[in-house]
Amino acid sequence: MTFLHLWAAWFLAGVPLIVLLYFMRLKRRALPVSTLMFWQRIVNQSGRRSFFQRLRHLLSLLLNLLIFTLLIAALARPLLERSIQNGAGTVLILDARARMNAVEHDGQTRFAKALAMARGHAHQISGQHQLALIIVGARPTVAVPFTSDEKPLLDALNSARPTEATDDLNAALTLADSLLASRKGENHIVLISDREPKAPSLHSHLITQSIATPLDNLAITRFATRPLPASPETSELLLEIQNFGRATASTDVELSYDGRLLEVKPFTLAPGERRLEFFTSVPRPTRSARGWLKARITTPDALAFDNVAYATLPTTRTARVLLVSRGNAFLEKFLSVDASVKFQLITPEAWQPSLAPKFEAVIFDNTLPAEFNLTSTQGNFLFLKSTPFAAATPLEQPLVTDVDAAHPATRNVSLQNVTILHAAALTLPEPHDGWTFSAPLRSFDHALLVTGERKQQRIAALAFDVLESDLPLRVAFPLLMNNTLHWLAGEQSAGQQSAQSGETITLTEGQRITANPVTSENEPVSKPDIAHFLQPMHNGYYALSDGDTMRWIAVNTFSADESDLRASGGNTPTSPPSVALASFSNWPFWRWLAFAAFALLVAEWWLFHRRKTE
Amino acid sequence: MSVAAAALFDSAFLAKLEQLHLLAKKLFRGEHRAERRSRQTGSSLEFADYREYTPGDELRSIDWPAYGRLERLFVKLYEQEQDLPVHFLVDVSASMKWTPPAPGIRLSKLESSLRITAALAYIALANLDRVNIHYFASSLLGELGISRGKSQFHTVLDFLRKAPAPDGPTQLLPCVRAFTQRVKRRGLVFVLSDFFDPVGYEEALSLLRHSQFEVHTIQILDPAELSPAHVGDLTLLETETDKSLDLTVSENLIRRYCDEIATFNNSLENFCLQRAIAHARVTTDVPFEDIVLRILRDGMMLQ
Repeated sequence: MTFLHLWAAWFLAGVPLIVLLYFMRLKRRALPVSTLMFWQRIVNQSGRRSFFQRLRHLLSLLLNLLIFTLLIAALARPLLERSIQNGAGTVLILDARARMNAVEHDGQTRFAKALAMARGHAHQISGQHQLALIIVGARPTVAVPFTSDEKPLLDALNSARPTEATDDLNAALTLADSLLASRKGENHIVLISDREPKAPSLHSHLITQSIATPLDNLAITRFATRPLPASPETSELLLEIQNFGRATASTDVELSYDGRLLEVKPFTLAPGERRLEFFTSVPRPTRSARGWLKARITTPDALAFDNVAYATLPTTRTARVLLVSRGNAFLEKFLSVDASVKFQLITPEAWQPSLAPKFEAVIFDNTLPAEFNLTSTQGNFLFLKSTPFAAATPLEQPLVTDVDAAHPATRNVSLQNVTILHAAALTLPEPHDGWTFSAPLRSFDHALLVTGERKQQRIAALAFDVLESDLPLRVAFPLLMNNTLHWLAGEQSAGQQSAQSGETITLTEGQRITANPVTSENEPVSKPDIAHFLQPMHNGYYALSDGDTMRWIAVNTFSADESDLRASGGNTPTSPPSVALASFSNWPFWRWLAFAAFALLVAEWWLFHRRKTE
Repeated sequence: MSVAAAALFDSAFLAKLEQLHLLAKKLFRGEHRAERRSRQTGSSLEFADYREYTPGDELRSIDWPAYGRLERLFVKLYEQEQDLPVHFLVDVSASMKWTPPAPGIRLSKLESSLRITAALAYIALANLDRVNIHYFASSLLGELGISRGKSQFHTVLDFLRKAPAPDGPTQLLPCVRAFTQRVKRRGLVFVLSDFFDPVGYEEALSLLRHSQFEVHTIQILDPAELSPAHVGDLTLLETETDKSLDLTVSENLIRRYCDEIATFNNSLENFCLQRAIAHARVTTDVPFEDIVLRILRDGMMLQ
């Protein structure tokens, strides 16, 4: 026998108290009477009962102690090993995915209905019929392993909340199968969801209980932003809206930026129609702004979470740059007009290594400090022509053959037909001392641009003198320099600006993220305190702290599968559960004990307090 | 007897009492001429019998019309009206002072019996009967002495006011035995008691009856004795003997007690009925006037 609540044994310490109270109760009240003659006659007539009358108080005490012991035993929740092994087992899978937030015609959410149904199952468990609970959000989780105890199940159900994440049910069904694999009795998987799983036939014990009806829904299925290549100071937005209804739907979509309304656009979509819309010229936020972009469908429908979409724009940072040069008019001009850069100019003779940490980037124009050492140096550097990397024979009029468009330094930079007079034939170094290198710009086998990165430090080296090329005369020059300087300043490493609900956001060392999202400008923002990784379950903005800077990650569901409520149903919603549930005869052992205690209590009251034993 | 009790005997009530007579079925020999018929023939106007003339009889007592019809001389005899000896045996045992734990304004059984005795004594004195009062418990404890005439009522009241403190158990038989030995002139005897004598009342009452007394019994009980209200784990303390009994009193047990005391009362009633003993049972919650004017009259003790 196993006891689920062994702590109940502490109540046995109350036995002496019961005995004490009992003896206090036995103190008789003195009552003068005129004569004992008649009382004595009654006692004499009841002589055959006198033995039991003497035992009466002892029996009452023993009965009270027995009732107390039975109650403690019931509280301890005893389980018989045999009934655990041979009893029926049911794995209850509760769907908590995004579409369970849908509001049905009766005003209840699908999740609320599913919870009510799950509670009904929980109330019917017994020693012979155990239940395990799996909750499916972004991934299946065993909320409660097999148990005969109703309380943890109800506690888990009471604390369960629907997520805004998406997942398929296969993992949950596989998990349920593995939970049932070692059980001998009659086993079932009960899936409480809004629709059948995709391959129900693979799970022979599966019973699906649907609590949903088909519903119409309008949803934003994509919402993204990117800087305009032609104008990095502005961005463009992509919005995709889809009608998952059975009739034509009209709505307005409000576009707001940091809480201010930018635009309202009307949409009319045929059933199943998907519409893409672009919004250009959204200014990038200032340093003090949040950069929140929000799209909202103004027409309410069955599912609320996909009526709002969130996106962020990276805030503009002013990079402090030190130019070490004997004179470069193009470079100096560029640095002076680029609003995102604040630069200082010194001669190579004025250079000191201690200056490097004071700037986000240091540009060595055609000069290389003699003491420069990759291993020990601090700071971020851009070398033009003279580089710390080994070079083979100089290249004459090299052609730009490969440009890595994915690299932050060369993104949106077109270098075709750039004429270069001379260039050093840089060899891509092997990784060493924590450094890793890449060559986003190549001329055949030779690197024209080498970038290196190690922990919180970056370096870039251009193999040619910009004055010995026509690059300064091209649009690519300010783009290349801007990209490279901001990459050196660490801006591009911020990387991820959006995520999907349920997706794992991996954090680097020192980064912290808030556990809960904010969805409006008026909400207070909690301190980011989650390290290593976060699996967001709800849509909104999550604040990510990276030391002294903070930025936002927009989280959305963006799942046509979750937004499409037309295929809901399956089983008749009103059909009763077809699972063999626990009946009166399958009461758990503790309930029998409690019932016995109650019966004895009634008997004790009837026999002793109603004086039936007299 | 308390001042409040004495106040019951106001002039109006006494006037009512004066209209009443004690009933006696038997004829007893009295000592003085009075208003009650006796066995003796005398000079009253009530015709009693005839007897043959014997020399010496007064000639005016000869019934001459009878002589004309029968030619024999007969003398007419007339009844002699005398007084009646009335004795009161008042129980002053400890059980008579018992009152329930929450008695309210009820009198004790002893107080009730003293009042009834006073009322009956007044009726007797008003009818020129001779009254004597005896207290008893386990033995005879005191005696008033013969009193006659209404002027003696204050003496009676003083005696009743100075009733001995209730004590000891009820032992009716030795008391009756002593009474019959002490009192030579037979008459009417009122026994006022609860009759809670463990030995029994039968022998004592039979002895009185066989001693040629006309016996009237008045059983006085408290309503709480007829139906007790206390239940639970109790230690019952007997007032007469200080004996105790531990008992868990239930409603069922109370029902059985009620049956038991009802059986006792019925057996007393039947005993009296079978032996032509007038019997009345009164409870202390009944108004005193009701007891005297209704219950005792219904019990054929008063007329």
